[in-house]
Amino acid sequence: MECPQAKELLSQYLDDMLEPQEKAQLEQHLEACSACKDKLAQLKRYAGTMAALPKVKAPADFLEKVQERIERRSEFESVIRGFFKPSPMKTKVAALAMVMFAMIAVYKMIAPEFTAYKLSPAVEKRKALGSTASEEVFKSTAPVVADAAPRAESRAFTAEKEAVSAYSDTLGLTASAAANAVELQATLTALDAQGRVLSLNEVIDVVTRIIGSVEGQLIELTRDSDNQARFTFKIPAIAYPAVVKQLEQLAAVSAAPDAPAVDQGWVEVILSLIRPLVVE
Amino acid sequence: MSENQDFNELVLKYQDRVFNLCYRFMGNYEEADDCAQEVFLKVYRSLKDFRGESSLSTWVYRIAVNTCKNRLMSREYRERKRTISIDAPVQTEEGEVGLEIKDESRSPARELDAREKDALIQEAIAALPEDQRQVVVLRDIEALSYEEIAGITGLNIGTVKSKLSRARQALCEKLRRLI
Repeated sequence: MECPQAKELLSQYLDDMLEPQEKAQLEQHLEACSACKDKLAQLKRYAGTMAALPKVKAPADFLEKVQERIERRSEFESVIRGFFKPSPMKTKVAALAMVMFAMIAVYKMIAPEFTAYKLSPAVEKRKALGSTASEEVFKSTAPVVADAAPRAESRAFTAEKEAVSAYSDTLGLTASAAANAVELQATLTALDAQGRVLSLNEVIDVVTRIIGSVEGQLIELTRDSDNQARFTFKIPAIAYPAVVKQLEQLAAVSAAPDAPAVDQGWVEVILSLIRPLVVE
Repeated sequence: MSENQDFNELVLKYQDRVFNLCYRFMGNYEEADDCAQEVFLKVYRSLKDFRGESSLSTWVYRIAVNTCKNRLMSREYRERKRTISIDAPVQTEEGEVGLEIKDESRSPARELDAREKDALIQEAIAALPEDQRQVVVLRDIEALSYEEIAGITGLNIGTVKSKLSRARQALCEKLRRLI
Protein backbone atom coordinates (compact mmCIF):
# COMPACT_ATOMS: atom_id res chain seq x y z
CA MET A 1 0.00 0.00 0.00
CA GLU A 2 1.24 3.47 -0.91
CA CYS A 3 1.00 6.57 1.25
CA PRO A 4 -1.77 8.37 -0.72
CA GLN A 5 -4.05 5.34 -0.43
CA ALA A 6 -3.15 4.91 3.23
CA LYS A 7 -3.94 8.56 3.87
CA GLU A 8 -7.41 8.11 2.39
CA LEU A 9 -8.10 5.12 4.62
CA LEU A 10 -6.95 6.59 7.92
CA SER A 11 -10.28 8.26 8.58
CA GLN A 12 -12.18 4.98 8.21
CA TYR A 13 -9.51 3.16 10.20
CA LEU A 14 -10.09 5.57 13.04
CA ASP A 15 -13.78 4.67 13.01
CA ASP A 16 -13.10 0.98 12.53
CA MET A 17 -14.96 1.02 9.25
CA LEU A 18 -12.41 -0.85 7.12
CA GLU A 19 -12.82 -4.35 5.78
CA PRO A 20 -10.47 -6.79 7.54
CA GLN A 21 -8.21 -7.12 4.51
CA GLU A 22 -7.86 -3.36 4.01
CA LYS A 23 -7.29 -2.92 7.70
CA ALA A 24 -4.48 -5.48 7.70
CA GLN A 25 -2.83 -3.87 4.67
CA LEU A 26 -3.03 -0.45 6.25
CA GLU A 27 -1.60 -1.67 9.53
CA GLN A 28 1.24 -3.26 7.63
CA HIS A 29 1.91 0.06 5.92
CA LEU A 30 1.75 1.95 9.21
CA GLU A 31 4.39 -0.35 10.67
CA ALA A 32 6.76 0.74 7.97
CA CYS A 33 5.79 4.37 7.39
CA SER A 34 6.38 6.87 10.13
CA ALA A 35 4.79 9.73 8.14
CA CYS A 36 1.45 7.91 7.93
CA LYS A 37 1.79 6.85 11.53
CA ASP A 38 2.17 10.49 12.48
CA LYS A 39 -0.90 11.34 10.41
CA LEU A 40 -2.88 8.72 12.29
CA ALA A 41 -1.69 10.08 15.62
CA GLN A 42 -2.70 13.58 14.53
CA LEU A 43 -6.10 12.29 13.43
CA LYS A 44 -6.60 10.64 16.81
CA ARG A 45 -5.73 13.89 18.58
CA TYR A 46 -8.14 15.70 16.29
CA ALA A 47 -10.93 13.23 17.10
CA GLY A 48 -10.23 13.63 20.80
CA THR A 49 -10.35 17.41 20.54
CA MET A 50 -13.63 17.38 18.64
CA ALA A 51 -15.25 14.90 20.99
CA ALA A 52 -14.22 17.04 23.93
CA LEU A 53 -15.78 20.21 22.57
CA PRO A 54 -18.33 21.55 24.99
CA LYS A 55 -21.93 20.79 24.06
CA VAL A 56 -23.76 24.03 23.64
CA LYS A 57 -27.13 23.74 25.31
CA ALA A 58 -30.38 25.37 24.38
CA PRO A 59 -31.29 28.27 26.65
CA ALA A 60 -33.57 27.50 29.57
CA ASP A 61 -36.53 29.27 27.96
CA PHE A 62 -36.10 27.55 24.61
CA LEU A 63 -39.37 25.61 24.73
CA GLU A 64 -41.26 28.76 25.69
CA LYS A 65 -39.77 30.61 22.77
CA VAL A 66 -40.74 27.83 20.39
CA GLN A 67 -44.28 27.82 21.79
CA GLU A 68 -44.47 31.59 21.41
CA ARG A 69 -43.44 31.36 17.81
CA ILE A 70 -46.01 28.66 17.18
CA GLU A 71 -48.70 30.86 18.70
CA ARG A 72 -47.60 33.92 16.77
CA ARG A 73 -47.60 31.87 13.61
CA SER A 74 -51.11 30.56 14.20
CA GLU A 75 -52.29 34.09 14.62
CA PHE A 76 -50.45 35.16 11.52
CA GLU A 77 -51.77 32.27 9.50
CA SER A 78 -55.31 32.97 10.51
CA VAL A 79 -54.84 36.49 9.18
CA ILE A 80 -53.38 35.12 5.98
CA ARG A 81 -56.27 32.71 5.66
CA GLY A 82 -58.55 35.67 6.05
CA PHE A 83 -56.92 37.22 3.04
CA PHE A 84 -57.85 34.25 0.96
CA LYS A 85 -61.54 34.68 1.50
CA PRO A 86 -63.02 36.83 -1.21
CA SER A 87 -65.13 39.33 0.64
CA PRO A 88 -65.58 43.04 1.08
CA MET A 89 -63.33 42.62 4.11
CA LYS A 90 -60.48 42.29 1.72
CA THR A 91 -60.42 46.01 1.14
CA LYS A 92 -60.21 46.61 4.86
CA VAL A 93 -57.56 43.99 5.22
CA ALA A 94 -55.59 45.61 2.46
CA ALA A 95 -55.74 48.82 4.37
CA LEU A 96 -54.09 47.10 7.25
CA ALA A 97 -51.14 46.62 5.03
CA MET A 98 -50.08 43.62 6.98
CA VAL A 99 -48.20 42.22 4.14
CA MET A 100 -47.11 44.07 1.16
CA PHE A 101 -46.17 41.63 -1.47
CA ALA A 102 -46.47 43.04 -4.86
CA MET A 103 -45.74 40.95 -7.80
CA ILE A 104 -44.63 43.10 -10.50
CA ALA A 105 -42.49 42.40 -13.37
CA VAL A 106 -41.40 39.22 -14.66
CA TYR A 107 -40.19 37.73 -17.75
CA LYS A 108 -36.61 36.83 -17.52
CA MET A 109 -36.04 33.83 -19.57
CA ILE A 110 -32.98 32.69 -21.37
CA ALA A 111 -32.29 36.17 -22.62
CA PRO A 112 -34.07 38.22 -20.05
CA GLU A 113 -34.88 41.67 -21.23
CA PHE A 114 -38.37 42.95 -20.90
CA THR A 115 -38.34 45.32 -23.73
CA ALA A 116 -41.31 44.23 -25.71
CA TYR A 117 -44.82 43.55 -24.69
CA LYS A 118 -45.91 42.00 -27.88
CA LEU A 119 -46.17 38.36 -28.61
CA SER A 120 -42.85 37.00 -29.64
CA PRO A 121 -42.55 34.55 -32.49
CA ALA A 122 -41.69 31.85 -29.98
CA VAL A 123 -44.94 32.34 -28.18
CA GLU A 124 -46.87 32.35 -31.38
CA LYS A 125 -45.20 29.09 -32.20
CA ARG A 126 -46.00 27.65 -28.82
CA LYS A 127 -49.59 28.66 -29.18
CA ALA A 128 -49.74 26.88 -32.46
CA LEU A 129 -48.20 23.75 -30.98
CA GLY A 130 -50.09 23.77 -27.76
CA SER A 131 -48.81 23.98 -24.21
CA THR A 132 -46.51 20.96 -24.44
CA ALA A 133 -44.26 22.99 -26.66
CA SER A 134 -43.42 25.28 -23.79
CA GLU A 135 -40.11 23.62 -23.31
CA GLU A 136 -39.16 24.67 -26.73
CA VAL A 137 -40.00 28.20 -25.79
CA PHE A 138 -37.70 27.96 -22.81
CA LYS A 139 -34.86 26.90 -25.01
CA SER A 140 -35.66 29.54 -27.51
CA THR A 141 -33.39 32.49 -27.84
CA ALA A 142 -36.34 34.74 -28.43
CA PRO A 143 -35.54 37.84 -26.44
CA VAL A 144 -38.80 38.22 -24.62
CA VAL A 145 -41.76 36.08 -23.99
CA ALA A 146 -44.45 38.33 -22.77
CA ASP A 147 -47.57 36.59 -23.66
CA ALA A 148 -50.99 38.10 -23.67
CA ALA A 149 -53.34 36.04 -21.62
CA PRO A 150 -56.89 36.12 -22.86
CA ARG A 151 -58.03 38.70 -20.37
CA ALA A 152 -55.10 41.03 -20.81
CA GLU A 153 -55.57 43.66 -23.40
CA SER A 154 -52.92 45.64 -25.11
CA ARG A 155 -53.63 48.79 -23.19
CA ALA A 156 -52.97 46.87 -20.01
CA PHE A 157 -49.47 46.12 -21.13
CA THR A 158 -48.69 49.76 -21.63
CA ALA A 159 -49.85 50.48 -18.15
CA GLU A 160 -48.00 47.43 -16.87
CA LYS A 161 -44.75 48.85 -18.10
CA GLU A 162 -45.33 51.92 -16.00
CA ALA A 163 -46.03 49.80 -13.00
CA VAL A 164 -42.76 48.00 -13.46
CA SER A 165 -40.79 51.17 -13.48
CA ALA A 166 -42.73 52.48 -10.54
CA TYR A 167 -42.11 49.48 -8.36
CA SER A 168 -39.14 47.58 -9.51
CA ASP A 169 -36.81 49.29 -7.08
CA THR A 170 -38.63 48.10 -4.04
CA LEU A 171 -40.98 45.32 -4.92
CA GLY A 172 -41.12 42.71 -7.48
CA LEU A 173 -41.40 39.20 -8.60
CA THR A 174 -39.37 38.11 -11.52
CA ALA A 175 -39.50 34.72 -13.04
CA SER A 176 -37.06 33.02 -15.28
CA ALA A 177 -37.61 29.61 -16.66
CA ALA A 178 -35.35 26.77 -17.54
CA ALA A 179 -36.56 23.65 -19.30
CA ASN A 180 -38.25 22.17 -16.28
CA ALA A 181 -37.91 24.67 -13.51
CA VAL A 182 -38.87 28.20 -12.84
CA GLU A 183 -36.76 30.58 -10.90
CA LEU A 184 -38.57 33.30 -9.07
CA GLN A 185 -37.36 36.36 -7.36
CA ALA A 186 -39.63 38.10 -4.99
CA THR A 187 -39.40 41.07 -2.76
CA LEU A 188 -41.72 41.30 0.13
CA THR A 189 -42.21 43.66 2.92
CA ALA A 190 -43.77 42.95 6.25
CA LEU A 191 -45.35 45.82 8.01
CA ASP A 192 -46.66 46.26 11.45
CA ALA A 193 -50.30 47.10 11.53
CA GLN A 194 -52.66 48.07 14.27
CA GLY A 195 -50.33 47.08 17.02
CA ARG A 196 -49.77 43.63 15.60
CA VAL A 197 -46.14 42.94 15.22
CA LEU A 198 -45.26 40.69 12.38
CA SER A 199 -41.77 39.50 12.16
CA LEU A 200 -40.30 39.34 8.76
CA ASN A 201 -39.24 35.83 9.63
CA GLU A 202 -42.87 34.82 9.79
CA VAL A 203 -43.66 36.31 6.45
CA ILE A 204 -40.59 34.67 5.03
CA ASP A 205 -41.67 31.45 6.55
CA VAL A 206 -45.02 31.54 4.80
CA VAL A 207 -43.28 31.99 1.49
CA THR A 208 -40.71 29.30 2.19
CA ARG A 209 -43.53 26.97 3.15
CA ILE A 210 -45.18 27.62 -0.16
CA ILE A 211 -41.89 26.89 -1.90
CA GLY A 212 -41.29 23.85 0.27
CA SER A 213 -44.75 22.48 -0.38
CA VAL A 214 -43.84 21.92 -4.01
CA GLU A 215 -40.31 20.76 -3.22
CA GLY A 216 -38.91 24.00 -4.47
CA GLN A 217 -35.49 25.17 -3.56
CA LEU A 218 -34.55 28.38 -1.89
CA ILE A 219 -31.55 29.74 -3.71
CA GLU A 220 -31.04 33.04 -2.03
CA LEU A 221 -32.63 35.04 0.68
CA THR A 222 -31.51 38.52 1.42
CA ARG A 223 -32.86 40.66 4.18
CA ASP A 224 -32.58 44.22 2.97
CA SER A 225 -33.88 45.69 6.15
CA ASP A 226 -35.87 44.72 9.21
CA ASN A 227 -39.02 44.53 7.20
CA GLN A 228 -37.95 43.71 3.72
CA ALA A 229 -36.48 40.64 2.13
CA ARG A 230 -35.72 39.39 -1.31
CA PHE A 231 -35.99 35.79 -2.38
CA THR A 232 -34.73 33.77 -5.21
CA PHE A 233 -36.14 30.34 -5.39
CA LYS A 234 -36.53 27.61 -7.89
CA ILE A 235 -39.64 25.51 -8.24
CA PRO A 236 -40.61 22.73 -10.59
CA ALA A 237 -42.21 24.29 -13.63
CA ILE A 238 -45.21 22.06 -13.23
CA ALA A 239 -45.87 23.56 -9.82
CA TYR A 240 -45.61 27.08 -11.04
CA PRO A 241 -49.30 27.84 -11.48
CA ALA A 242 -50.06 26.56 -8.00
CA VAL A 243 -47.28 28.58 -6.44
CA VAL A 244 -48.25 31.72 -8.24
CA LYS A 245 -51.79 31.19 -7.13
CA GLN A 246 -50.70 31.04 -3.54
CA LEU A 247 -48.42 34.02 -3.87
CA GLU A 248 -51.20 35.80 -5.64
CA GLN A 249 -53.27 35.40 -2.54
CA LEU A 250 -50.62 37.28 -0.67
CA ALA A 251 -50.26 39.77 -3.43
CA ALA A 252 -53.94 40.39 -3.38
CA VAL A 253 -53.54 42.23 -0.14
CA SER A 254 -50.66 44.29 -1.28
CA ALA A 255 -51.04 47.90 -0.47
CA ALA A 256 -48.31 50.02 0.90
CA PRO A 257 -49.65 52.94 2.91
CA ASP A 258 -47.70 55.47 0.94
CA ALA A 259 -47.40 53.69 -2.36
CA PRO A 260 -49.55 54.23 -5.39
CA ALA A 261 -52.32 51.70 -5.47
CA VAL A 262 -51.34 48.23 -6.45
CA ASP A 263 -54.60 46.47 -6.64
CA GLN A 264 -55.81 43.10 -7.71
CA GLY A 265 -56.19 44.37 -11.23
CA TRP A 266 -52.51 45.03 -11.48
CA VAL A 267 -51.65 41.69 -10.07
CA GLU A 268 -53.79 39.99 -12.65
CA VAL A 269 -52.17 41.85 -15.46
CA ILE A 270 -48.78 41.01 -14.12
CA LEU A 271 -49.59 37.39 -13.61
CA SER A 272 -50.92 37.17 -17.08
CA LEU A 273 -47.42 37.98 -18.14
CA ILE A 274 -45.87 35.40 -15.90
CA ARG A 275 -48.15 32.53 -16.59
CA PRO A 276 -47.33 31.92 -20.22
CA LEU A 277 -43.71 31.36 -19.33
CA VAL A 278 -44.35 28.07 -17.65
CA VAL A 279 -45.45 24.60 -18.44
CA GLU A 280 -49.03 24.35 -17.41
CA MET B 1 -51.59 12.66 26.32
CA SER B 2 -52.35 15.64 24.12
CA GLU B 3 -50.55 16.46 20.91
CA ASN B 4 -49.04 19.53 22.49
CA GLN B 5 -47.66 17.56 25.41
CA ASP B 6 -46.11 15.11 22.99
CA PHE B 7 -44.55 17.95 21.10
CA ASN B 8 -43.24 19.61 24.24
CA GLU B 9 -41.64 16.38 25.30
CA LEU B 10 -40.07 16.00 21.92
CA VAL B 11 -38.64 19.52 22.13
CA LEU B 12 -37.23 18.88 25.57
CA LYS B 13 -35.73 15.62 24.44
CA TYR B 14 -34.02 16.95 21.34
CA GLN B 15 -33.49 20.66 22.00
CA ASP B 16 -29.91 20.40 23.22
CA ARG B 17 -28.81 18.10 20.43
CA VAL B 18 -30.48 20.28 17.80
CA PHE B 19 -29.12 23.42 19.39
CA ASN B 20 -25.57 22.12 19.48
CA LEU B 21 -25.85 20.97 15.89
CA CYS B 22 -27.13 24.38 14.79
CA TYR B 23 -24.40 26.09 16.77
CA ARG B 24 -21.66 24.02 15.19
CA PHE B 25 -23.22 24.45 11.77
CA MET B 26 -23.86 28.16 11.94
CA GLY B 27 -20.95 29.11 14.15
CA ASN B 28 -22.93 31.67 16.05
CA TYR B 29 -25.02 31.34 19.19
CA GLU B 30 -27.69 33.83 18.24
CA GLU B 31 -28.08 32.33 14.80
CA ALA B 32 -28.18 28.86 16.32
CA ASP B 33 -30.97 29.93 18.66
CA ASP B 34 -33.13 31.26 15.86
CA CYS B 35 -32.30 28.32 13.64
CA ALA B 36 -33.07 25.72 16.32
CA GLN B 37 -36.42 27.38 16.99
CA GLU B 38 -37.18 27.22 13.30
CA VAL B 39 -36.30 23.53 13.28
CA PHE B 40 -38.91 22.83 15.94
CA LEU B 41 -41.49 24.95 14.18
CA LYS B 42 -40.99 22.74 11.17
CA VAL B 43 -41.14 19.66 13.35
CA TYR B 44 -44.39 20.93 14.86
CA ARG B 45 -45.92 21.51 11.47
CA SER B 46 -44.90 18.18 10.02
CA LEU B 47 -45.18 15.95 13.05
CA LYS B 48 -48.50 14.61 11.84
CA ASP B 49 -46.84 13.60 8.56
CA PHE B 50 -44.06 11.69 10.28
CA ARG B 51 -44.63 8.11 9.28
CA GLY B 52 -41.83 6.43 11.09
CA GLU B 53 -39.95 5.55 7.91
CA SER B 54 -36.84 6.66 9.70
CA SER B 55 -36.25 6.98 13.41
CA LEU B 56 -37.60 10.09 15.06
CA SER B 57 -34.10 11.32 15.83
CA THR B 58 -32.97 10.85 12.22
CA TRP B 59 -36.02 12.77 11.08
CA VAL B 60 -35.40 15.62 13.51
CA TYR B 61 -31.73 15.74 12.60
CA ARG B 62 -32.64 15.78 8.91
CA ILE B 63 -34.90 18.77 9.42
CA ALA B 64 -32.17 20.46 11.45
CA VAL B 65 -29.47 19.86 8.85
CA ASN B 66 -31.70 21.07 6.02
CA THR B 67 -32.70 24.15 7.97
CA CYS B 68 -29.05 25.00 8.63
CA LYS B 69 -28.12 24.38 5.01
CA ASN B 70 -30.92 26.60 3.77
CA ARG B 71 -29.78 29.36 6.05
CA LEU B 72 -26.22 29.05 4.98
CA MET B 73 -27.35 29.30 1.42
CA SER B 74 -28.93 32.64 1.91
CA ARG B 75 -27.00 35.48 0.47
CA GLU B 76 -27.54 37.45 3.62
CA TYR B 77 -25.68 34.89 5.64
CA ARG B 78 -22.88 34.60 3.15
CA GLU B 79 -22.49 38.33 3.01
CA ARG B 80 -22.47 38.67 6.74
CA LYS B 81 -19.95 35.90 7.05
CA ARG B 82 -17.68 37.60 4.59
CA THR B 83 -17.67 40.72 6.66
CA ILE B 84 -16.94 39.05 9.98
CA SER B 85 -13.75 40.48 11.32
CA ILE B 86 -11.44 38.32 13.30
CA ASP B 87 -11.35 41.13 15.81
CA ALA B 88 -15.11 41.12 16.17
CA PRO B 89 -16.48 39.48 19.28
CA VAL B 90 -18.25 36.17 18.83
CA GLN B 91 -21.55 35.49 20.55
CA THR B 92 -21.52 32.42 22.71
CA GLU B 93 -23.84 31.25 25.42
CA GLU B 94 -21.58 32.96 27.87
CA GLY B 95 -21.67 36.32 26.19
CA GLU B 96 -19.27 37.88 23.75
CA VAL B 97 -15.89 36.35 23.22
CA GLY B 98 -13.15 37.88 21.18
CA LEU B 99 -11.47 35.54 18.78
CA GLU B 100 -8.08 37.08 19.38
CA ILE B 101 -6.40 35.06 16.72
CA LYS B 102 -2.71 35.55 17.05
CA ASP B 103 0.02 34.79 14.62
CA GLU B 104 1.74 32.18 16.69
CA SER B 105 4.89 32.33 14.68
CA ARG B 106 5.53 35.78 16.09
CA SER B 107 4.00 35.64 19.53
CA PRO B 108 5.30 33.72 22.48
CA ALA B 109 3.86 30.26 22.71
CA ARG B 110 1.09 30.01 25.23
CA GLU B 111 -1.73 27.73 26.11
CA LEU B 112 -4.94 28.73 24.39
CA ASP B 113 -7.87 28.76 26.71
CA ALA B 114 -10.90 26.63 25.98
CA ARG B 115 -12.93 29.44 24.51
CA GLU B 116 -10.26 30.49 22.13
CA LYS B 117 -9.73 26.94 21.10
CA ASP B 118 -13.44 26.50 20.55
CA ALA B 119 -13.61 29.64 18.45
CA LEU B 120 -10.71 28.53 16.28
CA ILE B 121 -12.23 25.10 15.75
CA GLN B 122 -15.55 26.69 14.95
CA GLU B 123 -13.89 28.90 12.40
CA ALA B 124 -12.15 25.94 10.81
CA ILE B 125 -15.45 24.03 10.58
CA ALA B 126 -17.14 27.06 9.07
CA ALA B 127 -14.48 27.23 6.39
CA LEU B 128 -15.31 23.71 5.18
CA PRO B 129 -17.51 23.23 2.14
CA GLU B 130 -21.07 22.68 3.28
CA ASP B 131 -21.20 18.98 2.33
CA GLN B 132 -18.08 18.25 4.36
CA ARG B 133 -19.25 20.38 7.23
CA GLN B 134 -22.45 18.41 7.66
CA VAL B 135 -20.68 15.04 7.87
CA VAL B 136 -18.02 16.32 10.22
CA VAL B 137 -20.55 17.89 12.57
CA LEU B 138 -22.74 14.81 12.55
CA ARG B 139 -19.86 12.37 13.01
CA ASP B 140 -17.17 14.09 15.04
CA ILE B 141 -19.35 16.32 17.19
CA GLU B 142 -22.68 14.53 17.34
CA ALA B 143 -21.00 11.11 17.25
CA LEU B 144 -23.60 9.61 14.92
CA SER B 145 -22.92 6.42 13.00
CA TYR B 146 -22.15 6.41 9.29
CA GLU B 147 -25.54 4.80 8.68
CA GLU B 148 -27.35 7.48 10.62
CA ILE B 149 -25.45 10.19 8.75
CA ALA B 150 -26.38 8.59 5.45
CA GLY B 151 -30.02 8.52 6.55
CA ILE B 152 -29.97 12.16 7.57
CA THR B 153 -28.09 13.58 4.62
CA GLY B 154 -29.35 11.28 1.89
CA LEU B 155 -25.75 10.49 0.93
CA ASN B 156 -24.65 6.92 0.45
CA ILE B 157 -22.21 5.44 2.94
CA GLY B 158 -19.29 5.58 0.50
CA THR B 159 -19.82 9.29 -0.03
CA VAL B 160 -20.09 9.85 3.71
CA LYS B 161 -16.74 8.09 4.14
CA SER B 162 -14.96 10.07 1.46
CA LYS B 163 -16.39 13.43 2.52
CA LEU B 164 -15.52 12.74 6.12
CA SER B 165 -12.00 11.75 5.20
CA ARG B 166 -11.49 14.95 3.22
CA ALA B 167 -13.04 17.10 5.91
CA ARG B 168 -10.85 15.56 8.60
CA GLN B 169 -7.72 16.01 6.54
CA ALA B 170 -8.60 19.66 6.00
CA LEU B 171 -9.34 20.21 9.69
CA CYS B 172 -6.17 18.45 10.83
CA GLU B 173 -4.23 20.70 8.51
CA LYS B 174 -5.95 23.88 9.67
CA LEU B 175 -5.77 22.98 13.34
CA ARG B 176 -2.35 21.38 13.37
CA ARG B 177 -0.99 23.89 15.87
CA LEU B 178 -3.94 23.36 18.10
CA ILE B 179 -4.11 19.57 18.27
